Amino acid sequence: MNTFLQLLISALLVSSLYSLVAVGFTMYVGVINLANFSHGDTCVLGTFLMMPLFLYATKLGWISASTGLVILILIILLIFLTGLWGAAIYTILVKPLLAAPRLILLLATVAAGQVIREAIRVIYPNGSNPQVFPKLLPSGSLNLSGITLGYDSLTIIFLTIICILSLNFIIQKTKMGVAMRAVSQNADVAQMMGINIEQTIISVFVIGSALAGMAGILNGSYYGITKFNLGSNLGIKGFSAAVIGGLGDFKGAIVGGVLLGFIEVFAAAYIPNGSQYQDVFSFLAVIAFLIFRPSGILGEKIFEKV
Amino acid sequence: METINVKKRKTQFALRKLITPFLLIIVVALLYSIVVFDNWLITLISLAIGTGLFVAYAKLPALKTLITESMRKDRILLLIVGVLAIIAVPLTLRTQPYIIHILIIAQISIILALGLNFQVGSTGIPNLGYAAFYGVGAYTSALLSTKLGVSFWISILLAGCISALFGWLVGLPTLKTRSYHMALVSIAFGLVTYILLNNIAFTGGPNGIKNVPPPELFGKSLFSSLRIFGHTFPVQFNFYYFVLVFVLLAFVVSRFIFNSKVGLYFNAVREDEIAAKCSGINTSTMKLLAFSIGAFFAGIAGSLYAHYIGYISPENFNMNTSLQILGMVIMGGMDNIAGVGIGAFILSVAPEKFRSLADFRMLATGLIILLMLMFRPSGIIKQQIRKYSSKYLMSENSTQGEHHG
Amino acid sequence: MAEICLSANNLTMKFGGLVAIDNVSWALHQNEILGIIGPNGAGKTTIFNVVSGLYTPTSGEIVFKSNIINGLPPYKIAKMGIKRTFQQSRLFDNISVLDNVLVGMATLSKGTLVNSLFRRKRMAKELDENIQKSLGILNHFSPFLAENPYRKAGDLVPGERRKLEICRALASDPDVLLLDEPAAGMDPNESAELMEDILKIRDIRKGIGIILIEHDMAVVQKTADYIVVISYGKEIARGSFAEVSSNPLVQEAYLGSENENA
Repeated sequence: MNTFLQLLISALLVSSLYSLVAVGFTMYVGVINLANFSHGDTCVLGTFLMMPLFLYATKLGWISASTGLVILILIILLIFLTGLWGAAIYTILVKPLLAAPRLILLLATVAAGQVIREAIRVIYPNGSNPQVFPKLLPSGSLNLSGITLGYDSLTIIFLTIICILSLNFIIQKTKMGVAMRAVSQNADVAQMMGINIEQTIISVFVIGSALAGMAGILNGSYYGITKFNLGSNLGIKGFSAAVIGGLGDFKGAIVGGVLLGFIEVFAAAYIPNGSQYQDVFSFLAVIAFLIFRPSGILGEKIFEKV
Repeated sequence: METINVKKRKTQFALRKLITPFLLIIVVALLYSIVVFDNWLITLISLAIGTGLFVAYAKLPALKTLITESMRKDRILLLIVGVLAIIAVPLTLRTQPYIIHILIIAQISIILALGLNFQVGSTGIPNLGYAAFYGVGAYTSALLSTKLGVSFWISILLAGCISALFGWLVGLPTLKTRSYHMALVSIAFGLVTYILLNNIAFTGGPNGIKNVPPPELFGKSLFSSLRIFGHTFPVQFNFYYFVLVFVLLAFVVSRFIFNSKVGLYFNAVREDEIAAKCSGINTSTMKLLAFSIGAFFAGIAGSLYAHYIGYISPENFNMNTSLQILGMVIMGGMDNIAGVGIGAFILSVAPEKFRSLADFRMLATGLIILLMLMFRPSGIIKQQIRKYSSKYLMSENSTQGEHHG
Repeated sequence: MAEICLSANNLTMKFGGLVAIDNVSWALHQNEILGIIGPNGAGKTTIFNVVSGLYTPTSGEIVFKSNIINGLPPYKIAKMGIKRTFQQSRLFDNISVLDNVLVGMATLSKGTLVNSLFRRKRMAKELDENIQKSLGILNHFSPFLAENPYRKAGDLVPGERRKLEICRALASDPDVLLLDEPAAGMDPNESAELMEDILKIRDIRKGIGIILIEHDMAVVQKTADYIVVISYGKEIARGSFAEVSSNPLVQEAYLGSENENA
């Protein structure tokens, strides 16, 4: 029973990370029907932006003084930076190609991901090797009748819930959120109603990339390590979660992330040699969804616009 | 007045006749310096000159018509010189087997790129895990010949067929979904293949398979060096001509399919799937066909690679390989067979010359794909309008309407 | 009366909670032009999407030559002889005018895929015949297209695009042609030309039944033999143009929709 609860916490932790990545994917698809394959690499970019920031803060002696507050500021700064990166990706890469066939745009995001990855590897000192990522999260653990609850896991789950709730608030209650929903329903009509499409799309890219950056540093500080090519895996998992949840569906992406996290953690624990093949299990799950429920776990049947 | 005009016309005529030989000399010189000199600076300069000439060709309509016309007029000469060059190159490189090796790898890349072109170029389906099909072919062939002692010819055929079967299977789950689902499934297939090859003992895990035997031709191993007129030729020499046959076959088959109805229906699926369906095309069949044919090519290429190098490991067939082949197709020109061949040649030869900059290879590949997609998505040679030789079409007049741009 | 070639019986199509078509019935006779009209969002295009197989109807049936065809995939329905055009023309933009029409003949080929790859001589002959036929159809609607068979479809002006789309649909000699708002976005001159084109279709394909979805009343008045009016997915009137246009329900539906644009 205890191992089961322990696994539950791990699964929630992995689920949190996947959900954060999946939300961005699903939002891009919702708003401009684009699968942005550089999204996973944005997560890793976040970690490689964080490390110099942290180093600099340490040099200035800020870290030892009032650690919690400084780290919070650093995280906010990083979210801001990755958000900016999202806006840049949209303006430089996506916008000029919006009129081109979708295949071209899709391949361009794949290439952009490759460029981010390789640029990190080449530019960062000793970039080919794994890098030690600073511990941003509180250490230590809570012991509840035999179950160890690491403060780091709890913080990650807590932060993810905060992010998702605030995003939900933005989407449901604010003017920007209404605009996003309107654009994803029908961009032409939204434009006629006086919604600034461009601004809406940019804000989606900013939010999506900021969350990706967040996912990246949470992932990095939990495992204490980051590497230039971690993004491909994280990105594909995030995208898989979004597909399971039904592309374009915000709540679905979170459900998909949770499902994928649980499949992975429990398959690794209960299937012999499972940890070697945990990626295989999650991809099998995605393929099963594509065959039997292509519109996703919550989604209704998709009717293509003709 | 009259005589001066005649004289002028005569010199012009003579000059025009020189255009093709002049072009040939430039191209051969550039190719020779890119391929043969093992100095990255020379390669870089040659590539820059080549790019400059190409840009001039693409941007100056007068130059373009001039060159196209003279090439059309002298196409027999071009063909003869081309064939002779392809046949003669290894003879001049007798003492440089490494360069022949690079050319063999380029040949295998051409087969791969032609295969991927059916999917990405003709049918418009993204395949981001193409290297996995290459790997399936290589492993099938290597396992058959090392574990079961099957002959090369049966192994390569089975490699192609099993790879095609995988192509069909991978295509299945995405028939009713959209292009980004296909992208995801292909990446997933690539990763799963990589994980399985690394973890299964039967395939040798990360160590791969060693000592894959070379093909045998007329009862003789291709690894026995040829001796002609007292000169010994390196083993690469044999392989160059051996693989060349497969490259020519790949071109012929690609062209054949492109010009058939199947090629046309592939294009219809790419252009507008719904309109294609409502025109009576079974789009599912077309997608599966594009996947299977492309995977078949990859399987053949994989088998050739395994039997040439003699050693394969999962690292040969990872995501980077997939992206490199994708880069070849995009750079050369999606859905243009000649273009794809050129793209494959450049992207497989150039990196060998910049070995000192090997660290930047994947960055360069990514940048090339990105810049091509943003600024010249049609590639080096853009896809051509199909021309038919029907008596009902006035071939010359009707080409006037073709769009230039 | 001519024979019925295509009919819908109690057709209903629901998307989740939304009822796009509500118990609609109609019959199309040979040589007839049936107009289906109604305000925007009335469910007209959905009817075409159901008939052409893109959607499977929730209930009711579509009968073509006494076969029930609902639920069949679009390519099979096309093969049986029902072809359509689209509201926003869906041409194959990066291939030539001629190739577009040749794709339209996909259903004609007697040969299988294998044949098309290996029976070269027979295929060459078939191709030659198809090219001749394509040029004939193109010439019928637009001599310009027939003279420029190698022009890229994407480079055509909207009027020519619409004509090419009709040629593509007609290339396989269908028994039924569905025209989805062909006059959308046209000026009066262009729609006058279009009306002629629609009437021309009956000259080159005798016995064809045409269903015309249209918003432009002038086009319907000039071409349709019989009209069914739908609003919010329900039939509200049917009859000749004179009959339906004097119907107060129809007038209300049209006037009421002027202000909304959804």
